[in-house]
Amino acid sequence: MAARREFRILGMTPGEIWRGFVSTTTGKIALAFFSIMVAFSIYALVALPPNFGNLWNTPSYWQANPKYAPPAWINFFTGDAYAPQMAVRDFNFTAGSSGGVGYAVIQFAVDDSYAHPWRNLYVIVRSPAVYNASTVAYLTVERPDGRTVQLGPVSVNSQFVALGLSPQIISQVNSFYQSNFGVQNAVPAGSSAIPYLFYTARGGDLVPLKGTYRFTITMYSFSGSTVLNRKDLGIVLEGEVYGLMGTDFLGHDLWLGLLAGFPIDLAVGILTAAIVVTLAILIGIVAAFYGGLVDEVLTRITDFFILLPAFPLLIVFSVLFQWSIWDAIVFLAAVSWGGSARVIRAMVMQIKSSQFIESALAAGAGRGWILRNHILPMVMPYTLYLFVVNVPGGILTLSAINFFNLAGAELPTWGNILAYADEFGALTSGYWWWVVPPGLLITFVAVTFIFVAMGLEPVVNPRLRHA
Amino acid sequence: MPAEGMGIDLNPGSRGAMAAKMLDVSDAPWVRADSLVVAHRLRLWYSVKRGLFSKPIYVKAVDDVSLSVARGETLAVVGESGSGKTTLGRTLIRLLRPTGGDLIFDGRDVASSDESELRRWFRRRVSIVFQDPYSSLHPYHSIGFILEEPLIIHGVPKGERMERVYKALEEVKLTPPEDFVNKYPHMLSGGQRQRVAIARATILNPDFIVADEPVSMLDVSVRVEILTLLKEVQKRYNVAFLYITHDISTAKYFSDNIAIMYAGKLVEYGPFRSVVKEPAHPYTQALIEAIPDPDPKNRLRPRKVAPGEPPNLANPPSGCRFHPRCPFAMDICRKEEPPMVEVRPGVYTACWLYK
Amino acid sequence: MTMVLLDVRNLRLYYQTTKGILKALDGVSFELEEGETLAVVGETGSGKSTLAKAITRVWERNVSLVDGEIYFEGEEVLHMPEDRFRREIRWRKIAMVPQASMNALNPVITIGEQMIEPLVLSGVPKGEALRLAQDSLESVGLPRDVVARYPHQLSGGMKQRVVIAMAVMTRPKLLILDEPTSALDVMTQANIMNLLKELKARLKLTYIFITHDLALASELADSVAVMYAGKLAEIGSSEDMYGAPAHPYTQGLMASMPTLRTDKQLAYIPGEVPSLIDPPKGCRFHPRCPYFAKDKALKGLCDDMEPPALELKPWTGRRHLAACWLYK
Repeated sequence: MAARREFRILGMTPGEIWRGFVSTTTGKIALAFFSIMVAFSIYALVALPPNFGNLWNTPSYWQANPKYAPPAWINFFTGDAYAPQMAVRDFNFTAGSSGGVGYAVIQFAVDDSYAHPWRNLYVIVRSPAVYNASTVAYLTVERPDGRTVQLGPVSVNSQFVALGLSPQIISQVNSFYQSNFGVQNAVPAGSSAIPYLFYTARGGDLVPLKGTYRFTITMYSFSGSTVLNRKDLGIVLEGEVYGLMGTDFLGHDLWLGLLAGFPIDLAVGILTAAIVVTLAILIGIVAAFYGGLVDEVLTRITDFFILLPAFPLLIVFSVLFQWSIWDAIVFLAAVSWGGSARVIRAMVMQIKSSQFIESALAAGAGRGWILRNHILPMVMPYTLYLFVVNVPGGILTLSAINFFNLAGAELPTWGNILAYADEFGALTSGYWWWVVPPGLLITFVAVTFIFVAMGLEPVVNPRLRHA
Repeated sequence: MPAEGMGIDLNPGSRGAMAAKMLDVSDAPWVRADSLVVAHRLRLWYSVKRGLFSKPIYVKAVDDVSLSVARGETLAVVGESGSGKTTLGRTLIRLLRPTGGDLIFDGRDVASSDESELRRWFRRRVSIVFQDPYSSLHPYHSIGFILEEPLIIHGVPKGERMERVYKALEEVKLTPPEDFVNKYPHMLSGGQRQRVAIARATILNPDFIVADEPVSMLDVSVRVEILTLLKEVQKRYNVAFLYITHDISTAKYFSDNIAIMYAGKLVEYGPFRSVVKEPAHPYTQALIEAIPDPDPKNRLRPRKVAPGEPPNLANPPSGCRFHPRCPFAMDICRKEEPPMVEVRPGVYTACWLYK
Repeated sequence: MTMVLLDVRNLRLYYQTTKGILKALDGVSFELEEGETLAVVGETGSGKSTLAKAITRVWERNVSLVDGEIYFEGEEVLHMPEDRFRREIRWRKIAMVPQASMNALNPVITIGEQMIEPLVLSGVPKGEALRLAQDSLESVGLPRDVVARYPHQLSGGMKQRVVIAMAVMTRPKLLILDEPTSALDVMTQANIMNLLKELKARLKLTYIFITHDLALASELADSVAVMYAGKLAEIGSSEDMYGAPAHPYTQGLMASMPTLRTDKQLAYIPGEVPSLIDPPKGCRFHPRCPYFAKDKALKGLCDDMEPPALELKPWTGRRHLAACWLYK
């Protein structure tokens, strides 16, 4: 008898809901923020290598980065005081072998105009043949003040050679200062010698010497005539500052880490919220609406889930079953809906004997119609609140999980970055770039969803509309 | 009990005659078996369980009530709280399922039908107007949707719907309708909301409307307007009304017959004017006596009132349920329930005084 | 000659709301003699409940203006210091039975404990307070053992009697009742009205009886005051008000009241109660007044200037005043 009924939910067609949402300023802002997040997430998925998670946890990948380095753009405010990370690309390269000895000569120049010069010099030799072949390197530095420092030999026996902490080089720099300036023990114990290449002594104090420095690195390989290829060589000057977002204790490029966090955190937040909200609404409404035995059973199940000790179980299960981060998140979300379901059930029990529902029944409305158009609208405001709370909640829960090394501690999520920052005392040590950006991003996600909820509020609750 | 063979009704008219023949109402002569709405020995008992394992007790909200409402006629059902009048109203339009007895609408049995069957033919022909204008309209629905909803549910084509909504708003004098369609209930006054409720009840052109205390929560000066509106609706569409109230004075302006209920039972029935002028049942007499007319001399003397309160429907008094409060109670009243007898032409009452 | 118990002069009470200043009471004045029962009749938004709150000084927190004077037994009480008012006047000399008060009984405390609470707080020993409570219950027709019961064990009518008992326990001189029977059945209502009649005679009470039901008001009222949109439209003795209502609003109310025993043609007042934030200019009733609609001579008067209370003669019992330009 009923011809095709049009689909209405909350008493409106889906088109009306959308139009209502985007018509307000709040809705437009929410849409904008949300689009930004999605855009960054897509960019992250596209720009970062797919195994980025693994890379994040491979310390050797980040070796060349400075540790605890602030972002490079602070130089705007400090007047270029800090030497930036520099991967030297512009170098003269000659290589060959003579008399059973392979050699390579690398020459380059850098302009040092910084109050805080580079911390270390890395030579990266990506050819196992070379570094397995008793290779040594000599370094000559021509300083702007005319003096020359001769350093070496340093054994090149691995892919990654850090020159600064080599005892040979440290003592050679010390003797340079001794003989040229009469300064004893110029390089403090345990420090890298490289910065001191860029200093001079003036009246007993060490001050930076600005100007052009020319470097010549000569490498000799003594066993076999292995010749180094230019493309296998990397020269990196470790800077005082690094990149867009600085680095952490391991030299992670935080910009990449935060970027990688977008899709992960967004997905985790939305997934958590979606699971919690869906289960809470479903069980709350069904229990209250159908009543009787269904209600009894569902309420007992709800009670059971409320009483479950979520975190202890999570610890046990994640160790027992080697859970990935997704397993952990789904588990936590699946046990957190209890309290909300109870609230929704209470709301629906109150509503279901309302006279407007009796009117609809008298007019011939079916159960589905009543659920969609009469009950759901009354539950929506609370649902919006649930969503807003659970998205950032999910992200922070995730970070708590990471913190306890339960699951996914290896992923570059914002919570993780924050967890490590906390562990390493970033805030008290003044490493603000490690603490503030991840916190801000979590806040941004929360704010975005708050705006979404605010934009939807007048749509679901007509009393709040301006008209 | 109407018999077997209740399939798809191809010819409702003949069915009516058939059902009337089948339904024997000879024990209730005040019931006209060919009326639009016929209730015979209707019962609605709620079962209440005291604990998880105890035997249920029955709250006899409507107990053995028989009445009929003809097309275009208004039957006032009057009683105090706990009389069962609200339950009766909801049962007659099948918001509740009777536990016993017959309920016939336009010749077809309604008492035992299930919801899907009712939705096919019954729901669009009956509707209800509630007492509380503040909770009978969904706060989050626009007035337009509130009125459109019954139309959508019953498959009225989209083009026709808005036209009917505007027409309904004009009929209840909420003009201009374009303004009201986009408003929400919280923007309207109590009287306006009640008009919307009436518009919703009439938008499918029903044959029978149950009005459950439609004006008791409205301001006094607004009541008359709403009652007048109901009368207009009745005249225009020849609608039968069941007007439920505890205030007989308002029923006076809108009723043809009156049925008085006490503790779930029908105690008096007859044409309105006759019953009110010369009430037969002691309860009716007490009820009328308790209602003041505006008269400054009222303050000079106490009002005659029956003592006590209406009984608990789970455990009503034996015999005549009114006997503990009745000034004329006799021995037999305590022991046996009185049958309904005709006191004068058209007026029936259940009281041992008239046997 | 009986004395004037309550003298209200130009009482104003304004509320601050998000939409503006709500003028709940806007210049209400009247006198009440000892032993007189005044029914204050009005619809929603008339200000009748606010009047009760103003006299007992229990208004809401968002009040923006309280102005005027209230003289009780000759002494000004509206501007009296709060703790003196609390000690001496409220619940001692002036008591109130608020709207739906039977629902305001605490469900987890016995009746007795609730009744003696105000007494015990002001220093009366518990035993004596309990005795007073039981006496009070008896005087409203309830058994003394109700003190041990809980509210849910009592019916609606009994609960209302309890609340009335609480109000008369301290033998007040003035009892304000705000819709005391609105949630009750007709017969219970009649019972309560009988009780109030009896208490009036026995305890020599002065009542202010607030209701929207003019018929019910006649059960108790010696005088009737009709309020509309925060102002007093008309006031007079019951005989004058019911017999010859003067103000068009009162006439409208009388005409829209269905009567059971007599036959009459029912009329209704078109339009809606006005907004108290932005009331109509001049007489607040003029947009709905049939006289204003018909008589061109009233234009420029009723819609421009607020009418003062004008006296109608002759009157019986008390002065008959109507705030209407028809009686200039």
